[in-house]
Amino acid sequence: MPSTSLPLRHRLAGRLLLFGLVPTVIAVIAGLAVNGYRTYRAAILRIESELGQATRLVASDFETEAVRVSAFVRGLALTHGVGGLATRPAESGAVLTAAREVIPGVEQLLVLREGEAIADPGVAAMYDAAKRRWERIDASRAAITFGEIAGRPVVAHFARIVVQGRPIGAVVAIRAAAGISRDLERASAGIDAQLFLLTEGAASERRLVATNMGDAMKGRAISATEFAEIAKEAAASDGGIRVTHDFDSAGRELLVATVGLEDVDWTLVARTPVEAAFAEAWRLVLLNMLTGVAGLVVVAILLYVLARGVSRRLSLVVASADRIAEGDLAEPVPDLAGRDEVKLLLDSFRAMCDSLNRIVGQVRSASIRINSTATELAATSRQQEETVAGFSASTTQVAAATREISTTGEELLRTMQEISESASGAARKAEESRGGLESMQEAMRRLDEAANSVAARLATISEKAQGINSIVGTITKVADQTNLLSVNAAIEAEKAGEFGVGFLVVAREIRRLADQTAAATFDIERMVRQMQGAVASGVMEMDRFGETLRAGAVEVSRVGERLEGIIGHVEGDVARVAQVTGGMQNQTAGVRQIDDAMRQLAAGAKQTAQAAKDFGGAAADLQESIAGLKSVVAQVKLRD
Amino acid sequence: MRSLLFETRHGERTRRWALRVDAIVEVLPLVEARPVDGGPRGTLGVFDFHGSLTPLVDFALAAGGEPAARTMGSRIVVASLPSGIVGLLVERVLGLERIDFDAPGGHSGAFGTSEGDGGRGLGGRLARFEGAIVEELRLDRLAHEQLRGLVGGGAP
Repeated sequence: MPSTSLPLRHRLAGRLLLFGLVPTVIAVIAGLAVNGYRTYRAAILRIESELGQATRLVASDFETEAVRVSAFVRGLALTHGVGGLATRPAESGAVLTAAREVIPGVEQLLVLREGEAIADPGVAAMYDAAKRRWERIDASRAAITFGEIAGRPVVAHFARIVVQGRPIGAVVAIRAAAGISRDLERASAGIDAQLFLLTEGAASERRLVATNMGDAMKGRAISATEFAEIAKEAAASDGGIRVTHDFDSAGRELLVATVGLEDVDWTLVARTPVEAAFAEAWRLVLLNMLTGVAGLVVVAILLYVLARGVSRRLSLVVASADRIAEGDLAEPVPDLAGRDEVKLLLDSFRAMCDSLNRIVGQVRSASIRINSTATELAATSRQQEETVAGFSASTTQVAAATREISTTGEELLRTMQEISESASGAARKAEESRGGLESMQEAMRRLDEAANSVAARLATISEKAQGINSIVGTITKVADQTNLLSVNAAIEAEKAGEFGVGFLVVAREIRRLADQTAAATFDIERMVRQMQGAVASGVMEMDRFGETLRAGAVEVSRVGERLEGIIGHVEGDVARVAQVTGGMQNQTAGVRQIDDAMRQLAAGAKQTAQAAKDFGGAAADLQESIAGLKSVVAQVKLRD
Repeated sequence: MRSLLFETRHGERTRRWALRVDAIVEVLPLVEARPVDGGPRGTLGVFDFHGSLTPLVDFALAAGGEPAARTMGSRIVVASLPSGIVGLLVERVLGLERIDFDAPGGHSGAFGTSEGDGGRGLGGRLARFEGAIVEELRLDRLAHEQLRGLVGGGAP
């Protein structure tokens, strides 16, 4: 179920809880806070008023009691006059007994005469205080004072005895302070507060008359106790009732009520910690909160149950919608019990699913039929297109090829003609070259022979020169001998004197001839040597020349062979080129005709191809559309 | 009386000598001499002259020049000395000429006379012939004793 996979904050239950419960909780908390505060304020006010009333009540009770005692004492004073009690002790005892019935806890009843010394200093101090009060306020009324007798705190009620308008003494009833405290406790039985009854005077002079906090502090100056601040409260009192907030020595907030007593100048102070009020308010708030939370929990559970129910029913709808969205129309839409919007929605879905089933089934069958037709159509058009394209391409290619062939053919023809001419020229040149080569070979052969014969002749010359050399050597030797002979002959002729003169001439001539011969032979020898050198170098040159000639002859004959081959080829080529040229001429004319025909064919093919292409495009579009339709329809599962 | 003219080489220069014909026994072609110890300057050895051992002297060396070159034109002039005969190896013989040492303009050649004085001692009087100065060869100034010592005094 897709809805269950949602996080809680997106689910219906979560939304309901979020948008229903959270504001409620906020409102409840705000209401609780406001209510709590108001309750707290009200409790404080109530406690204030209660405390004030209670304090006033206590004060009033206490005052009533005091007034009653004072009235009794005044009655005694009026009845008995001065000395009555003192002069008639028996009667005095009876009076005391009677007084005890009226005044609980009375200890002494005394008559004090003006001018007489008072034995007890505590009583004297109290009487002084009473007299000061009478002077200050009203002498006709009873005065109540606080003091100590024998270390015990006591309260004394004084009533002045007046004879003929002149005060002559006073009647005093002395009670233990504990009795006062009991009065106080009795009066304050209904309130939860600490009560302190303080004497009059400045803060430091006030003394604690009574309290419901126990007896330990009684009679002590209040400033000396841990409740010192009470004295300040009392000092601030103006006689009426007054409720203030204060803090005790421990820093706790307190509610303090002070009330001044009318017949005495004492002050009753009642105090209670605010905590009590706060605790009360908190209790209330807690109670409210518990109630609120319980209500909220109930609401939340109800909301959750409701949301869950709706959600579960909706999830069925969602599942159906999901299936339809996925194209699954085969699954029937389930039915729901009950009558609500979800059921109506599900019914609508079912109707929609049925309609879709019907429509999509029709579309599917139609699309199958159209598809087969379109496929055939596309295939046919494609075939046609391919055929035409192929044809077109072929014609274009053929046209291009023929054009190329035509151009090439013409060029080729020209080239062939040139080749033919060149080949003919080459053949002629080769023929001439062959003739030239042959004569060259012949010439070289002759040259070689000549060189050989020259070499042979040179060798002969060299041999001859050798012969000349030996002859010249012989001649030289002969000339030398002749020279020597002529010298010796000349010497002998000289020695012979007159007889030798003729011989001397002959000897000299011989000697001259010999010398000339020697010079000539020397020349010959030199020349022969030069000739021999020349011959030797000539032989060498001739050898080299011969070798070169022979190598040249070999090369020439090789060239000749090659030339022979070339001439053969060229001659064959010339014949073939002539044939090819003739063929080419015919071909070029044919190709030109084909080219024209192909041009017309290509134009027709192009038009056909365009038409086929358009048709193919339309068929492809149709097929594509059908394919899209088919794929969409195929995604939908139908009931069989 | 004619004299045999021949040359000796002294570096770049040449000296011409004249030997009176009556002192010459014979002019021979070049023969090889057998070397021997001793003898004056230029002595090459001894050779066989018609059966008698004859000392051979390189005249150019003896005259203080350079050794004579041995060519086909080199000659050995066999001269007679008071003590015997001697062969003088001469590089080149110029011929027989009539040299007049007594003619005016000549020179007595009275330079140093001692032996070993650079060979100048072999030169005698000087004469001019065909533009060149010719010296009279004084064979008597050769060291006869030494030469005779070489052949053991067997004079012809």
